[in-house]
Amino acid sequence: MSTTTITDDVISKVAKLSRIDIPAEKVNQFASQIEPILKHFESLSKVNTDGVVPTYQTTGLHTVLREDVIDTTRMFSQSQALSNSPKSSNGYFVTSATIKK
Amino acid sequence: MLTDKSITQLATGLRSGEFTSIDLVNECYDNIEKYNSQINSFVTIVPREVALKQAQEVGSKLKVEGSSLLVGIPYVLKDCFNTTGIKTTAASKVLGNYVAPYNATIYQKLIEAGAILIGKMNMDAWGHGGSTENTDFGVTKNPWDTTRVAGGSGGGPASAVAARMAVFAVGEDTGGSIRNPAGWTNTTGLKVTYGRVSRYGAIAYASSFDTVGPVAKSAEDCAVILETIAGVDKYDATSSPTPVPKYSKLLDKNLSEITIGIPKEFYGEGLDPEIKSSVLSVSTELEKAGAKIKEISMPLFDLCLPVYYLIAPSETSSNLARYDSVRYGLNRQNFTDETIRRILIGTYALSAGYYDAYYKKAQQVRTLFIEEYNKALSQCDILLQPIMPNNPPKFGELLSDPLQNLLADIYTVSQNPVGVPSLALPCGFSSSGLPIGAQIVGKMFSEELLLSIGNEFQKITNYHTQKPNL
Repeated sequence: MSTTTITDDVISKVAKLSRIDIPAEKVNQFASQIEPILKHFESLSKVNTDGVVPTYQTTGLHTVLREDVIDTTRMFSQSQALSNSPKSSNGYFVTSATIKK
Repeated sequence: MLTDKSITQLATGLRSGEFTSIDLVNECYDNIEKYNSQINSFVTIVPREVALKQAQEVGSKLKVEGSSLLVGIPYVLKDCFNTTGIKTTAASKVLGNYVAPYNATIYQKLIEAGAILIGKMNMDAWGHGGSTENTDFGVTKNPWDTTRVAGGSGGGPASAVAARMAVFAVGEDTGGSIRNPAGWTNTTGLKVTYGRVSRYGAIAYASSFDTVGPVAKSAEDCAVILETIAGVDKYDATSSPTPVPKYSKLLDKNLSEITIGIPKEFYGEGLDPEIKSSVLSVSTELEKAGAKIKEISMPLFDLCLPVYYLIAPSETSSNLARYDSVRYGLNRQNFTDETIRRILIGTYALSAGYYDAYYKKAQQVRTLFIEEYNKALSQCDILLQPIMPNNPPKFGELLSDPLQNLLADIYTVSQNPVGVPSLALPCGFSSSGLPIGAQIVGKMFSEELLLSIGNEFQKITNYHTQKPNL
């Protein structure tokens, strides 16, 4: 972590993973803004965390279960489910094609 | 003005017939007409006639023995809570036209209590920011000085309460989003213990940090709101089954039983001297009323920023992955640069080869922070901390440098990874007349203690009753 460099290629790769298209002329801007932020975070590497268990949540709750029953008060009608869709057809969501013929 | 009164005073007046809910609703809308064009607190204003219709119908509810103190009280929600029939945007054009098909649990509870929703409030989009400048709906201005920011991410709710455009608000705090704008607008806001209030129907920023809490004019009002919205929810598996006390009946505290910890690292370099002395004056006032003061040390303090700003973007990159514009919302090109930065940082921290060095490391240091807070709170009952290192900046000052923008959050980001509650209280004014706030932090589920100490402080000071001259 001690030699954090954020190149344009790193930004392009991470943007692709994030499904965000960043215009070519802005890639370098993001790289130059994010590099100092990640460099600032290098201070973490100085902390000895050998044997420290990571904390992912603070509720103290474990394996919260509910009865396996249908909650009709929380069901959407088809029209409710589709009500915010940018594009739907015959009661279905319409998506862009993901497979090329 | 009716809106200067406490919720308890309003509830009493509504029941005695001194004034009606219609009067109160009209006063809020009159203030909205006068002030909102100057400060832009609202994303959506519920039409006055819709609110008035509800106000006309509260009469029978008011007569019910033991009915909620919130019957007939007009309030606002940060625009991150789902409300059927009223759009919910998270201040992002991605959700610019989104109307949720279900209600957030806290909204449902407030409907059942009889409170009247009058608006959905501006914020930094998705909670990403501390100034309400990262919004697609125009910046919110500080009612104390309209050339300055109102804070964030909940600048809209806090400024609306400060300007008396609503009696109270409900906000969300992931790394200071309730406390920061409370401090900068002279309002009182509570970041609750993680799990104290249901997050169901709240638009997620960072799921393991997000908390829902009240924004109001006093600790006493926060107590009334919290006892209404808190509690376990079958729709939020992270909500806590810990019983909800009747906070508003537990507001008196013998301060001689209280030890206030002053963590010295929170008062070092970078803290404005006027803010430092105002925050420390809280301990002086409480000491005069009998409390004991103890200086303590929290040496990991500086590390809270990297912990927060690695975990929160990681969680937000995951949460915002759902916005694919298939079922709702516009496509991902509509995120702002600040949101894109956070998604990129989070995706980077979670990606193969960097996960251990960034994300996992931050979660390990988070464990050390929890131990640090446990240790600190074993030596005292509450910790007194500043909220913001500086007075509210002018527009653009924070946005121009993304790293500086993050550094300003240093005092408000250490609590959320730990889960502990924190009450933000007005504690003074700068020489230029800008409000200053302090926060008191307690153990998990110590809201009762924080609210009672806040209430005692507000009995002996009058900062919280001051309002802006708009």
